Amino acid sequence: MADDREIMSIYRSGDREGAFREIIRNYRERLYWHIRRFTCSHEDTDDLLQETFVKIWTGLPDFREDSRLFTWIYRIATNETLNFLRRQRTHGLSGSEPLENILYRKVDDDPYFNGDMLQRELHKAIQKLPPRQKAVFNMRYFEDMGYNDMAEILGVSAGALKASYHHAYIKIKEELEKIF
Amino acid sequence: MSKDEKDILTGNEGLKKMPFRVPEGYFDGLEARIHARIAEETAPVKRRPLRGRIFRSPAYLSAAAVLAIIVAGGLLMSRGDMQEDDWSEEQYALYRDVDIIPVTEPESIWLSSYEETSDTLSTEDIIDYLVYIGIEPEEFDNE
Repeated sequence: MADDREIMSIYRSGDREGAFREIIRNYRERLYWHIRRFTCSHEDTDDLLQETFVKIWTGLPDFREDSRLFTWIYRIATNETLNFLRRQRTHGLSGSEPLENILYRKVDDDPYFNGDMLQRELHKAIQKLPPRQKAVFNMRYFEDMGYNDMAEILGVSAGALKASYHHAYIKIKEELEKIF
Repeated sequence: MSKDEKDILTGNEGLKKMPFRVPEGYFDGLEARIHARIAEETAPVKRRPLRGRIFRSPAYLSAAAVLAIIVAGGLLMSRGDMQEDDWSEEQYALYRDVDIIPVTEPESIWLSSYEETSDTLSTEDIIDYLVYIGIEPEEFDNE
């Protein structure tokens, strides 16, 4: 599998389709799980993942390499996902019920869940977090991403993200310790 | 808590694995579905000539006339309301722009924060301030 530098080298050689193919192969699984941790639904994730790749394809000619390919791609996926959740909230798709409650229930109802009780409660606790804390917790805890990379992706200072992670970590730990 | 001490999140490495399956062969077929979607979204929209659509039937002309009366009436009424309320351009902009925030502005996403404003300082506010002045979050736990 080609790394980011090789992908950009393929792209610069004029092979946009070849570079895009490598991007899909390299990022499809990572982005799938990144999005799925937010949506708690395979169907929504599939739709958002495809839309993310469409945006990558159309945005590739404008990618000036001011940021790294990795952070640019994650930024697109994260914005697509958070905007999707924001639309669900503002357009009342969740009715009068808070969106967090719906996402919380989706973990229980997910037909593709195959984990244990602790994993289930962890993913339910994550759904109770505010958007920024959820994004930071997911990227830090599951993907082991550095604060500077997250800062580039989310457009927020590394210091603020450290604080967000700290808040999220404490909330989830307390939530789990109530049960286990 | 010291850095070496394990808690429920650090002591269970299995928690970092995703406890969800994906449908059989999902990733194998993804590339083809993405290309199909790109073709669909970038295909030029075919439109019939305007003249043919509008003048095809007298029903269209009747509907247009009724619509024009409704719009004209609505405009006259809204002018009257505007004079009463005297809304500023800024107030209108708040409503007008609410759904066209570009996806490339990550800060805009946080505008819909879940946290409600309060007159009192929360623990989170204090921690945010401490981080802002340079104290690492890990240091809070060591106290």
